[in-house]
Amino acid sequence: MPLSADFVKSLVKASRQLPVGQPTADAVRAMETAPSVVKTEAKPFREAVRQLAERDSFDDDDYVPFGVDGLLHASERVLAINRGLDEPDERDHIRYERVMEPHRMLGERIRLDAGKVRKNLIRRLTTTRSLKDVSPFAFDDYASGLLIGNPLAQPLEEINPFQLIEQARSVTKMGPGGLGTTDAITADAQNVHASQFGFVSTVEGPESELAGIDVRLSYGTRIGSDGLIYQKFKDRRTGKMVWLNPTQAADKVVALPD
Amino acid sequence: MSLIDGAEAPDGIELRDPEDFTTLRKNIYANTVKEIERSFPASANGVRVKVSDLSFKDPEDYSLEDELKAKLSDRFLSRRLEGTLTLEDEQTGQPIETKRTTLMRVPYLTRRGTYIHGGNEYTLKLQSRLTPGAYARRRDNGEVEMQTIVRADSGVPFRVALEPESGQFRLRVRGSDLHLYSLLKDLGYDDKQLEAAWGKELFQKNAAKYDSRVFGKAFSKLVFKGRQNPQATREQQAEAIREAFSQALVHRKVVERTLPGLVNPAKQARFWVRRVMEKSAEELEFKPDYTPDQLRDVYAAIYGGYGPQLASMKEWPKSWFPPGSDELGWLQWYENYHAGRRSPDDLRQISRWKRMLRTHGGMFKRNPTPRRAFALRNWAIDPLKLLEDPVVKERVAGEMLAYKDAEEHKWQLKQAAFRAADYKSLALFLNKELNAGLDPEQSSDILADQILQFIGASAQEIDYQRFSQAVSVAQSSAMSQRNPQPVDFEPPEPPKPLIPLEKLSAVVESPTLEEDAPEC
Repeated sequence: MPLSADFVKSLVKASRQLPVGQPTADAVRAMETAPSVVKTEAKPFREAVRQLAERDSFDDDDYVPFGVDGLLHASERVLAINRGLDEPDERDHIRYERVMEPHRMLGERIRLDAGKVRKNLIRRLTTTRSLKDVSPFAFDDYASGLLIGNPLAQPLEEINPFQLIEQARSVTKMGPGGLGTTDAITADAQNVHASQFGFVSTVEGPESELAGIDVRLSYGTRIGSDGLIYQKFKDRRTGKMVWLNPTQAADKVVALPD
Repeated sequence: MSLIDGAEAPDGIELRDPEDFTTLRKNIYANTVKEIERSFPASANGVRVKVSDLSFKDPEDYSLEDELKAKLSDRFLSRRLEGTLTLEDEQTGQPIETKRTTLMRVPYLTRRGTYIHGGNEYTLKLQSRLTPGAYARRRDNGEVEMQTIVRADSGVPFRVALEPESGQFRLRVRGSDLHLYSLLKDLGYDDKQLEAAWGKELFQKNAAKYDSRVFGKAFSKLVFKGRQNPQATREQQAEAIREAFSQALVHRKVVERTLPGLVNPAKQARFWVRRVMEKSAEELEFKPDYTPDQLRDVYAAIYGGYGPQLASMKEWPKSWFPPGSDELGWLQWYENYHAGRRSPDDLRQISRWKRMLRTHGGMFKRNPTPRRAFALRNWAIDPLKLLEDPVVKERVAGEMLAYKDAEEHKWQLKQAAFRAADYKSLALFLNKELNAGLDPEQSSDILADQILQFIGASAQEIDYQRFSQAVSVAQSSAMSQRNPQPVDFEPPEPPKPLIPLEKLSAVVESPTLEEDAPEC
């Protein structure tokens, strides 16, 4: 059953009032294409809007399809850079990076069916057509694979208790979904980037090829549910303290406190 | 805005302290349930599996004793997640079997931020990943490429590169180096479209290397194996490739910066329109009617402040001055362009000129006002050329002349009127000649009041003829500050020696005139 025009309009209006960073137009489009979500469960309007606001901005944030046209756009950009009319992107700018926390890593393993646990289970069920063969802990590999055999997991040395504090702020670009091998590390990636100021500690870290790859978050930072790092700044105009992410801080003049 | 730790936090974003393990533990539990729910129902070969009634069997928190026991007994300290599995017939939707079981053990995060598995204690690092998007980079060998990282579950990553020596565009995907032109051509792109995008020379080079085998390779590399149908027709294969690219998701906020055309086609002009800047003015249909020399009066009025600005805005929007553009605007660019300079900004400025001709020229034809005519003249366009009717042309020419005279008269009156600088000059003069004791650093309002008071109180002593001369000299002195370029300028008739009250509120940025105090 299609949504009424009035409902969609009011949804669009309400979604525009959602906080910045939340999906709006695409979310509404999704609602339009799947009207049963709203209609069959007869959720009140406010509830529908609340659901939009609660969408996980890290996983379902505003993604757009690349499309075949994207190839042409990309080729034009490459051409412009090749002719010196444009500059390559600052890939090492911290605004382009997202922090994956353990719960997201585990969620990703489930979503992408790491180890083909789900696929193998379904395949088995198609032949037996019975759940008797489904043993307890059928999906345990999702969790244990996060800790065993994962380069991001390390056994605790249990020598220095401060290691725990350090590890809590430790962020690496290596591992599944990131850089696969140290051969992929570029000199630019190892360098300190200006955008890291206030967000990433420039003095802590290993003295190896992982310098700049294996870093520590600065003290006082927070990890946002959008995957961005936030740091507290004082707005000199208003005198108020505000949390800013690297994109917001990049457009501002930042001074050290007296 | 909500307050977190005494600072305003963005709405809708939860901030977690990296050492706040309690919140992280809750997130692990909640996210696991969410993802398991999201992953089902799953179906294959006629059966469908559903999961429902997910709940945890164990408590949310464990004591230190529990942790110790787990370590000593080589256990996995976790929280068991239960759920009801339902096996259904996919065709009929009828349940075949239902079973409630423990699905998985979700790792328990200790208060120290560790996990206990097999009696060992583990820490898990956070991971920083490049957000899915398209990023342009220059490789060590100098080759420029656009690296596209797509969302993990949406497709395969690929790169678009240009071989500088051969001029061939390549699409690199899964170890294959494909000829981009051949693929785009087989996907239905028109040669004219590609020529417009790449330019004639580069297009011809790429077209000459067309390879029909690329299409098959692209199909095998870009389309997931499960969706590859060997019996598919060429058109079906093309559709599958298009679909693969459509399903490849990139983050909007990244491509808004790196590939804006993907989100907003109008913005793509920023990149590729520049590419044709080498085209001559004739090719671009850039044919101004005036040379910069013929527009000297416009330059003098707009940049020198000498003469009325007949149509220009008081202040130009900042958006008209992107980085790298001439800081004084279109006229400065035109002077440089006319002198032979070529820059990446040329096409933007020419586009602006053409837009001006098209929109304002069109409006002028319909409603020829003198102000519009001078606006066109500011862009080196002869407004009278746009008019066909000789009668209208003559009338507009007359109106333009009258408009110009009126504006010049207004400008001269404005120049002659008192400004903050004049008050300062006058105060300095009165201090010097009559020991008035006025403070020239005061604001013009206060200074005007003080001058009036002084004149009123000293009415008997003031030589009004000398005072009148002083006013005239003070104005000329201040005026020379307003018009920095040397001009042959005769000061207009000095106003009455009394300061007009209605001008007292006029406050203008004034230069410091102490060193240039008028000599009388």
